[in-house]
Amino acid sequence: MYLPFAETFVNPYAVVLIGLGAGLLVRVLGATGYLVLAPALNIFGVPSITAAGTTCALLLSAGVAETFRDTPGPRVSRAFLIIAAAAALAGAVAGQRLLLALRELDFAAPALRLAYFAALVTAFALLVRRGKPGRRTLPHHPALRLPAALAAGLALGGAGMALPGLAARAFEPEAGAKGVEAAALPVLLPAALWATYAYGAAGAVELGLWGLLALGLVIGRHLGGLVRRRCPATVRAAVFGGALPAFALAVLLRQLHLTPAAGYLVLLTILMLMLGTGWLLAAALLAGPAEAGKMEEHKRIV
Amino acid sequence: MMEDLVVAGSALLAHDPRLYGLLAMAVAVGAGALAGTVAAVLGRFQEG
Repeated sequence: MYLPFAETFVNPYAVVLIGLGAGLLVRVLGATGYLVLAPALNIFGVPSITAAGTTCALLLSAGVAETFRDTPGPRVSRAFLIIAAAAALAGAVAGQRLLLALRELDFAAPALRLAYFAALVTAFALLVRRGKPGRRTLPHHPALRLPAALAAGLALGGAGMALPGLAARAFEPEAGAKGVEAAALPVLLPAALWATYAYGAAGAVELGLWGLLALGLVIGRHLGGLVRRRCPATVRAAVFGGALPAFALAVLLRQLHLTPAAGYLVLLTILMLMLGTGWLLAAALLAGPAEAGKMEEHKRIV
Repeated sequence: MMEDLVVAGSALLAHDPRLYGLLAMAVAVGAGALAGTVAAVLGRFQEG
């Protein structure tokens, strides 16, 4: 598929697969899953600015769709939402300007990869810490989940956005993890709206690429939803958590100019994610009602 | 349809980049609203 603004070709099947992998991760691990989109696109030949801009457009769609969800409202105060949304918007503006400035210096791609490598490694480190008593880690820690979602969509802007996001969290100690999770994408809306416009005006949003990614994301989210309903969080983290360091390694390989190896690693990781999904769904199906009951009990304990 | 959108987008970007930014924003919001509506309707079907 030809990308007219980026003036390059990209494999459409790989793009759908990337969307599918990200959708799966978003549903089973939380908003951290969005972190894999931009670096994976970059590995498959999409320029860093276009990858960031198209991811922003995708996050805008996801945020709008999320507002239709018929679930109880987030258990966070209006003040927290306003502060977080303002922090996200400020980060988006700063991040987009910084990325465009770095493009002039021919340093946008390494900076983007570095930021995503750090974000993916941090996300995994926090994920493996989960389960230890008294510690709340990334997938369920409100203070880290929100910045992770923001960093995902706004690429390099996310690095600048994480700090205001964390500071905003300090104002709201009682905000529940579930509430922040439900609020993350709607909070992101003003920032994603602005970023989509700004990246679009800079010729960095490819609508064809966006369409294919959205298709993959919808399928992946549906499959991930099936897993989420049937498996406890600890099992999901154990089966799918390994994808984060694999994507981080792929980013590193791409930076070392080992692009084919990075591409194969991304495809292999997505294949493993799909195998894991099939395995968990088959296990849940074969477990029968007694095991399902035990699982429900385990879920309650977790 | 996607092809038409890409061609229209290219023409808009060449004419005025801000218009293309607005088009990208409108497409993303519209698709999100459509997906949200479909998900909400299907969710209600499943419940009812």
